[in-house]
Amino acid sequence: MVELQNRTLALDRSMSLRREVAARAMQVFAGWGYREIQVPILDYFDSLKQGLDARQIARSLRFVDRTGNLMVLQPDLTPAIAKVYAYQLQGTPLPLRLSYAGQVVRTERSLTDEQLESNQIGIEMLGARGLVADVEMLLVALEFLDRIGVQSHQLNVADHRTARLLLAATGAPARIRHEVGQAIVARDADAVREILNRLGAREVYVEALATLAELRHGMDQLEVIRNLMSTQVNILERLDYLKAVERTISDLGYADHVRLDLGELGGASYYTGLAFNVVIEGVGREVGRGGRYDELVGQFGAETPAVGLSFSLDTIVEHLHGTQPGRFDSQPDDSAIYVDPSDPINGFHIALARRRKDELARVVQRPQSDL
Amino acid sequence: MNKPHRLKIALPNCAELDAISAHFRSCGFDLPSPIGKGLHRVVNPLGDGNDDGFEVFSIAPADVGTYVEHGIAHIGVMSTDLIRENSVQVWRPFPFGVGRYPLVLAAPQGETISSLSARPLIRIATPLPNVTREIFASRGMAVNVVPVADSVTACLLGLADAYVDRLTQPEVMVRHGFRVVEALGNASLKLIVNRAYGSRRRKTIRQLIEALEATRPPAPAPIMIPFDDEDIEYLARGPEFDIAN
Repeated sequence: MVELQNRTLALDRSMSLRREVAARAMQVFAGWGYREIQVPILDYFDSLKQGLDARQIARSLRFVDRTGNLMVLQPDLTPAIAKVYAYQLQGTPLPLRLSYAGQVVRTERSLTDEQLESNQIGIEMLGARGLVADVEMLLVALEFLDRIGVQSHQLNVADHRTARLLLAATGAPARIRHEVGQAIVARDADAVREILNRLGAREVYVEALATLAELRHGMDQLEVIRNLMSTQVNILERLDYLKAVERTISDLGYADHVRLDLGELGGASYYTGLAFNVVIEGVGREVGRGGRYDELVGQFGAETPAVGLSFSLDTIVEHLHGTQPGRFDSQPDDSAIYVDPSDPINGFHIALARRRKDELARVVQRPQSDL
Repeated sequence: MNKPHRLKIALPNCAELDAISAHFRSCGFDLPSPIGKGLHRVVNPLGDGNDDGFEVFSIAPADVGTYVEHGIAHIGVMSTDLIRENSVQVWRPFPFGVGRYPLVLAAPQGETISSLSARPLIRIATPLPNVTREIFASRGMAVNVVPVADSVTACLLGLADAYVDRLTQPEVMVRHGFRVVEALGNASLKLIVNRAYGSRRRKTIRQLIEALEATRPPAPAPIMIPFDDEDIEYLARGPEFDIAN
C-alpha cells in the first residue's frame, strides 16, 4: 500500500488527507499532460444554463446579485469548463488537456448526497475523439486510484450512445425514454419491459433495452444485443467499438479492474458515448465517474468532441480515513521554543533560525508568575 | 483492506415479512420462523465462493432504503411506493410475487375527479406525501396534501376529502363507504441493492436473484379495484405502470 504522508499539519486528519489526495491527483494528471484550470465558483446562470439539464438546474443554488443578474454557484464543473473553453480558449491547439480541483454546490434529494458542497477533482480532454482518448481516461483513473493506495476498485464501462440509439429506435416520446433510462439505471429489467410493452414498442428493442438493465456479464449483454440487432448497422458499430475498448484494456493488463456493464448509465445527461463509474469495495456510493460528452461544448460554441472524468474528493477521503491508520503519534516533537514575554527577541531569533532551515518551530510562551 | 465482508440483508418489518423470509428460506437461507429481532448469521447457500455468509435482520419498511443506500445493508427488500416516496437511489433487480398492491386515489362513494376538482381546495390524506404531491403537480392540480399514517381514519373523521394509499384490503375500504376514483399505479415489493456494492459483487447478486427466481412461490391473485362507476372499459384498462418509475 502506498503510504500517505501528512506533509501538512492539520487540525483534522481528513483535511491533510484531502490535501494529500488532491496533490497526488494533480501529480498524476500533470504526468499525463493535463494543465490545471480554475473555474469561478460563481457564474452567470443565463450563460451556463444551456449546458445544464433540468435536474442539474433544479438542484443548483441561484440568487440575484446587486445589479440584478441571476447568479449560480457552480453545480457541476464539466459544463463550466466547456463554457470557459467555448468562450475563452477557442483556437488553442487541440487536443486540449485540462485538470481541475474545485468545489461544486448542489442540493440533493437523495439521502447519500445530502451535503450541499462537495470537492471534485478531475480532467477534461477537449478536441479528441475515438478509442485512444477514451482509453486514456480509463488509464488516468486507474493510475490515480493506484497512487492513493486503493486496491479493490473497479471501473464499470457502459455506452450511452448504444442506449440512446436503442431508446430512439423504440419511437418512445422523451418522457418515456427518460423513464426507461431511469429503470435501466435501477437495473429493473421488469419495469423496462412493462413500460415499453405498454407503449407497444417492437419486441427486439424491448428485449435489447431490458438486457441493458439485467445483471449479466458485460460481454454477454453485448452478444445478446448483437444477436437482436443483426441489421442495425449503427448499433453494431457501437458494439464493435465497445469490444475493441475491452480488448485494449485487457491487453494492457487491467481486465481485473475494468469491465463492461452496459447498464451503468447513471450520471449527468450530457454523456453521449463511452462512460464509466468508479466503485471501491466497502464504499456505499461511487467515488468517480467519467465519459464522453461530444455535444456539451456545442451548447456554448463550436461543436467540439470532449471526454473527461471526475472524482469525489470527499468520498475518497472518507474511505481512506477509515482504512488507513493515523500517524500523528509517531511524529517526534522537538519543535517547542520558549519565548519569554519580557524579552521576546532571543526566543524569536531561535524560532526564525529554525524556520530559515525549514525546521518546525512551535512557539511556547513561558508562563509569568507575576501576572 | 480486503477484510471479509459479511453481506447484510435488511428485510422490511411489514405484513409480508413472513412470506419474504419464507422465500429466502426456500433458497437455503437458514432463517428462524418467525424471523424475530436481532441479527441472524446464516451460512451462504449460493455457493459463489463467498464463505463469509450473510447477516439478515428486519427493520421498519421505510428505513430499508436508507440502510441500503448508505451501504450499511448491502441488500434489502422494499416496496416501490416507499422507494419513490423517499427517493432512494438503489438497484431494484428482482420483483417479489407478494406485496403487489394498486396505489389508488379513493374517496367517499359518489365522488369523482370532477366533483373533487370543483372544491375550492382538495385535501388529500396520505402516508406518501411526496409521491402524492408529485402525481398531482404533474397534472397541474392544486391539492393540499395531509401527511398521515392512517389515511382512511383521516378521511372518516373529516381531515381530508380523499386519500392516496396502497389498496391492500378492498372489502374494508368498501365497508367504510369508500370507492376508488382512480388507479394511480402499482406498488410492488422489490429486492433492492446498493448500487456501488452491486457493481462490485454482481456475481453474488445475480446468483441470489437466480435462486429467488427458481424458488418463486405462486403469485397471489391480483386485487380487484372497487371503482365507483363499475365501468367495464375503465376496469379493463387496468392500473398503470409501476409506481417506482
